[in-house]
Amino acid sequence: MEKSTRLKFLFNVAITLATVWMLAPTMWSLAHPDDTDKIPAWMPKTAMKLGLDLQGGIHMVMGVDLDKVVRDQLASYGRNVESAADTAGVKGLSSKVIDKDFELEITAGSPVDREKVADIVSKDFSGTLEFVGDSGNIVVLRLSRPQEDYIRTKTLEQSIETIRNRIDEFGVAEPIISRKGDSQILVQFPGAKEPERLKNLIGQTAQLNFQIVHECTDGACMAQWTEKLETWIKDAEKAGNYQRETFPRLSDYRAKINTDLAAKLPKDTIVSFERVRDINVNGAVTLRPFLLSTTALLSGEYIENAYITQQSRSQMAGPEMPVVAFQMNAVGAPLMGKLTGEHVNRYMAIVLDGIVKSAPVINSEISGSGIITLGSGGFEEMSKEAGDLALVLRAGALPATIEVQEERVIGPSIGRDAIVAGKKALMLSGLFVLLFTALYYGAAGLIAGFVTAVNVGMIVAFLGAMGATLTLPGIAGVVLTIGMAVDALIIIYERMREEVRLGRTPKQVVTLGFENAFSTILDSNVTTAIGAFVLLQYGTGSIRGFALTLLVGILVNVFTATFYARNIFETLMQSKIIQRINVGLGAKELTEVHA
Amino acid sequence: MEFFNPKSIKIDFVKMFPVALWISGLLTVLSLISLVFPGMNYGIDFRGGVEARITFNASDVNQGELRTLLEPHFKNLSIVDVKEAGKSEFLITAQAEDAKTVGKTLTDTISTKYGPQGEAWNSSQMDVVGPKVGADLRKSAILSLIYTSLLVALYMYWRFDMRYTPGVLACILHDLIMTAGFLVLTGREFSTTIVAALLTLAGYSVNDTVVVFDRIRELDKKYPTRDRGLVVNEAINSTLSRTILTSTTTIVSCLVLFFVGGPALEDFALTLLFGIFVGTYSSAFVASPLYIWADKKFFSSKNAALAHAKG
Repeated sequence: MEKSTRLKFLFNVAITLATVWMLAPTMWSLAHPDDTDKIPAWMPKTAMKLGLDLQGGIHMVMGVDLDKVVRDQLASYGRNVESAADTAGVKGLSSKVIDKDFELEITAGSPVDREKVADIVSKDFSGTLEFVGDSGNIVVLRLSRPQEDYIRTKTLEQSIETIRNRIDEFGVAEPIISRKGDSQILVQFPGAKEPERLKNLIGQTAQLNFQIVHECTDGACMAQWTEKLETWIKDAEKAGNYQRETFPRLSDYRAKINTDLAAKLPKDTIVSFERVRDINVNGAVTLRPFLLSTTALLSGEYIENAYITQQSRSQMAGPEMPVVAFQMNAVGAPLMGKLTGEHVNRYMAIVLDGIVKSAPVINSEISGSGIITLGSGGFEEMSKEAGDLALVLRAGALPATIEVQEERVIGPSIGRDAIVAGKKALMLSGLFVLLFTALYYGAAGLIAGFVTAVNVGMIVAFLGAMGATLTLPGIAGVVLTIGMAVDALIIIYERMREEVRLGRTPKQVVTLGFENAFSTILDSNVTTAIGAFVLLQYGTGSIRGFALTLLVGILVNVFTATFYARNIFETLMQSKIIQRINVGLGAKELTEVHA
Repeated sequence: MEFFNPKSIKIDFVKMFPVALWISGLLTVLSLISLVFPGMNYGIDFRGGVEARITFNASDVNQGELRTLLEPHFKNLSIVDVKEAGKSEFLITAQAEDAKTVGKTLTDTISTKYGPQGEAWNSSQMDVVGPKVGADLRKSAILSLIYTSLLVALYMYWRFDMRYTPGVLACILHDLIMTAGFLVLTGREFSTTIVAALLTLAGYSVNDTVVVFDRIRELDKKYPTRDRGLVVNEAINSTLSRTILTSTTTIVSCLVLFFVGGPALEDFALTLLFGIFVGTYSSAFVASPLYIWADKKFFSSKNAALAHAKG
């Protein structure tokens, strides 16, 4: 045998062994879908992860409201400009955010003042704010491009980190959290066992704020304001002909109330609601309105730690209920100290995504730590709620509001059924192909069967080594690839038959068959690959899995058909074991001609 | 064993071209119309909403009853009875005003009548998709199809020449439109899986066309002045064996997926099945005639010059 042929043969053997070796862990995973983390240590780390549709689990896509963050930032800068101007002696400014255009409008008392404001902005805020225009008493500003980009990117990253923290705390095995597009987050929990609770936990991610309640320093005042607000709200509902139920989301209802009451509300205040559970009537929830300051507030991002503890509700005895204790970090402690110090004896509302969770009295300045008491309910229920709230606080409040845009919960039974179906499909189609090629192409067909098996093995081994995830569409991709792998071989074999009919020698038959078929195989596979490649770019989730399988499959197909299979033929031809490889033409085949 | 000896098959395909083109044209137009009227049956991936597979422990849950219960809370409610031995199982698809709570609304509504989840009934699968996702999906599906078509055409132009490109493009469009029409006809739900199947189809159809074109190119090199019709006929006939065999193996793979792959892969397999038939047909009866046309249009002067040069 020629030396080069021997080398090629050895190469084939090496590849085959490597494939079998890399394939082992994936085969094991498919046989033991519930114990994918217990793969024997001696196997290489090339198992394919099982996708959600095979394992069961949760898949969520969340949108981060970055626009709101930008607007909030503008509002905050507005306040900063006002106070900077105030220090410089320019009084009576008011700032307003134009939501639609993401612009900040500052109204001064006179055109002269306006000039002064413009000066202050260009001096102190040059990196962050830029001018849009001015006229009369008004200066219009917006965030500078770099500043806006920075805020958007940073907020998204922070959101991802915070969610990651929360999920880690929850103890879900191998969650996948990643950025999707420019304002979305993709979260996947394989094998998650408590979908509802998990969903609520993540879905609950919201913005946390500490806000001072307007004016009041005692219970009587609070009760008075509650009554006043309730009356106003009833009037507004009657005038506008709507009720709480008209709005599925509490935040929309709240926004409507605030718009309708804008004229009546004192400056810099906003109405928020507390959900009060009626202990006597099961499931009944009423909304208690609070009037909160929009200026005297502190963001919850400075919380260092939060945990459950127990204490009695009232000062005197009474059953101990679960409460949440929290601690501020180094940056936040003085800020909290300032906020509480300036408002001793006032009430401080702890607001989670616009909903008042609790509004304790500030007895004295709080710098390091504080307690949040929850509403009311059964002990176990409250324990869970306290635990979840502490979790939310501990892993950090989100810098932006998050909304679940897509969620899929797949039960484990569906996953198991899918695996069974996938395995069946794979075996059946593989079997058919094997039988068919053996019958139709004789000895060459048997070779084809073997090559196809190695082909599929290689594909799966590759995908495993790449860390790809196996999904049901992915299995469909493999089944499809079996059909296509055979196509390449069929092209070659048909060509070889033609050469046989033309009277070529066995050696020529093999050589010419492979050579002539090459360009056809290449072109046809490249075009299919283009489709798979585009799908990879634009597809999501399990579709990407399918596209990847297809792509890898095509690459392996071309390699196997043109190189691996050819090696086998050439080796056999030159080994003097076989004079001629039967391509299934039976009696019509020409008599042998020695090489 | 063999089914086709290329030397003994001599089907005159070119003669069938005019009829085939008329039929294809008509069916394509009909398919296009059907895309708008009655229009595609978009699944929740595109429209948003909730899709859940609910299994009741009781075996006698009445579908009509379920519908009466759910109807007031949702739009576009669809309930499909998924027959399982001994249990009542339904596939429910619906939309509601608030995408965020539509899933909860569904589970709560069912619980109020039939009992708590986990005890009286269970959901083995629940997907909730917001409207924004649907819009994004539509955009990326269309973009994918456009990019694939463009890239493939470009590749064909580079590897072959101008004469082959219109055929390939027409082939892709023809196959996609016909398959989409077929999906509308059979009332299949249009989901991301179907989009994947369609894209695979586009690639596969071109695959098939390329095999025929490759043979045409080879013959063209050997006989640059021979009548195009003869060349095309010989090309199709000599690749017939391979075409039918490959289609068969792939079709069998799809049939296996269709019968064994479970509900998740049914639509996918069906789309591919139809698509393979159409793809094979179009390689011979759509792409090839267009090649002949393009040859006349772009290369006629070149051919005439060659013939003249040969004397």
